[in-house]
Amino acid sequence: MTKKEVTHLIRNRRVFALTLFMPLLLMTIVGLAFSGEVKHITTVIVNKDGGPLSQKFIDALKVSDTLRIRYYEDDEPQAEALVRDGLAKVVILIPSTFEDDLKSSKALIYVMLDGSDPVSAGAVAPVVQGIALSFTPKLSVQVERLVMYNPSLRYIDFIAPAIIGIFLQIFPMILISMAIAGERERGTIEQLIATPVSGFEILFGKLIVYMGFGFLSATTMLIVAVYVFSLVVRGSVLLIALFLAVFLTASLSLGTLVSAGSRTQMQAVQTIMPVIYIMIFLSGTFYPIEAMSPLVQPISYILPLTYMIHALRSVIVKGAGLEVVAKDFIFLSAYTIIMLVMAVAVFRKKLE
Amino acid sequence: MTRDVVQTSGLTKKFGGLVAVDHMDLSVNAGEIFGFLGPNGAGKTTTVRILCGLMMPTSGTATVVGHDVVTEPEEVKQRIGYMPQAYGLYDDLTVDENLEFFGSIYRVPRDERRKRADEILQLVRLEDFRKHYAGQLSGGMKRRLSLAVSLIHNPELLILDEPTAGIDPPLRRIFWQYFRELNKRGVTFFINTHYMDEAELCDRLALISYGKLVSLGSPTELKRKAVGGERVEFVTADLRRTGEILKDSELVREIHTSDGGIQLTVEEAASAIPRLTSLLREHGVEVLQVRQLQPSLEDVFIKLVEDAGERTRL
Repeated sequence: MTKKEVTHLIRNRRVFALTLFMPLLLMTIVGLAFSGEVKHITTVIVNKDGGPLSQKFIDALKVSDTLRIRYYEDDEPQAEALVRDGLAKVVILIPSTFEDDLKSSKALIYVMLDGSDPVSAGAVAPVVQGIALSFTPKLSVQVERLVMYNPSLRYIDFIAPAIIGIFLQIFPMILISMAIAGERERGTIEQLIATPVSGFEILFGKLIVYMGFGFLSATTMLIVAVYVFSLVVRGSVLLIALFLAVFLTASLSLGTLVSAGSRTQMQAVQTIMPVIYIMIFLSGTFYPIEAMSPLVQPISYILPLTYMIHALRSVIVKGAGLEVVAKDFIFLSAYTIIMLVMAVAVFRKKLE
Repeated sequence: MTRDVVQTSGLTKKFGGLVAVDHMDLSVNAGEIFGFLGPNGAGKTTTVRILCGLMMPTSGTATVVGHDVVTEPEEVKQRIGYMPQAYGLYDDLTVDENLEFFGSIYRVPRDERRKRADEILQLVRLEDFRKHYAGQLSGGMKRRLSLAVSLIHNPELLILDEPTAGIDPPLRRIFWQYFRELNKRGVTFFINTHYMDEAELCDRLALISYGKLVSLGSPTELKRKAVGGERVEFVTADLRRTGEILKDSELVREIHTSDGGIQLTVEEAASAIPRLTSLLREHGVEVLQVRQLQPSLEDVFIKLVEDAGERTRL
């Protein structure tokens, strides 16, 4: 009996590959994404002092792995704009009195954090404090919760937009690929393509229906997040809807592509599973991408979900406008167009 | 009146190294019931899928209802009805909804759709099941619904892929009543089958083996071809003398004695029987019984396939 089951498992190559490959893949992804401390958090320095002592302190900050100092600004508003646009996560402000204060008595520096990413924010403060302490005990750090978007650093504000992104990536994709594979499995596709209805019509009939479902799901999730968990939607609802439409089209097209390679619903789901794991863990849902191993970061940056989550967080939590998320929008649109064209090309109205 | 509804020339379909359809030349006349007979795996389903525009031929051409299936598949699809071998309707839709859906994608106007649905459901006796989900119907009823769906747009040609496979003999007979009824109204039929009794009911038959057309003709013609004429059996009072007399007749091609009778092969039984009977009477032999022997189509099939130099898989 066992032997028979083992034979079944080995013969069914897809499942066999899945049982061997999935655990390997899953553990590798999680390991690469989440191992060690949070690293390489993009940082803006605002050095108002400009003296040699302040320069020495900046050099001390540079040694740390946690921070990656990429920008130098003269004013707080400019620095904050960088955070708002998602280009940086941390602002370290050195006041103009830094050197004088340090010589006389005690000095203070300010750390301002991107509240929409509590994971990075949480990691930065102790690190900067540690560096300051070893620089000189006279220097103390004030972690200014001068964070504009999410002063209470609530995890729900961080996670809710991501969950919407993930859901819209996964469910419409599964549903449409199962719907198409299901037609093939039940044999209805043969009767259907024997009619003069075009492949385009068949595909778009399905796309539109599942697009509607996707919008319904996203709205439901937003309503729950807003009314039950008091998420504040700061940005334009219209902009959110625009992103949903583009992203849903991409998910559904990807689902269509998956179904093209699947004879049964089971196969479709099995193909989707590994893709889902990669997307969930590498899209920056739970953990900032900057902190992941450089090995997997390139993957993160080609996942549409990464851009969708970034856009949703920016718009929902920070109230960003289109100009801020333009990069995400352009990437997602391009990706969607490519996916859609491929889906239409693959969804041919023939058997075989 | 002998417009070709289906015309293929050198039609070939390969799947990798396997030649499923091998240079098939067919022509189906308007108004006939054309049987496509062959064992499982002979290439029947592949052929009809090409004719329906569901698959591309590897080479050769096929014209169905006046349109090329490769260049104008949608025109073909609009004017033919197709009932696939595997039942392929929506289980979660009702009988009415299935007909309504397929009617709409064939772009049958709404009023006409209603009217035709009534008519067809009456024909296949499913009027009482209109609100039932297709998934709840019995196997036989699903087949009837499948036939109904293939008729919703009033096609001039019906292509049926083993329409009666796996259904019981009484229902098969009912199906053939539907076919004849529709045929009388002018619908041409192209029917895949591997049932010999069903093949007998066709106007013309194509015998298929290993993707090749072995023989084409009416059941009677095919039998004559297989046997090299028609078989007749004479039972007389004096078999030995009967044999001697008939042996010399120019009408008789082959002769051998069986239990209680003499079996002959003649060109055509209908004209030979009276002439041979009177010949025997002239010689004073009393003819007790004469009958034409019907070789089974199965024997004919095997004989013709063997003649064609093929190993049969029946």
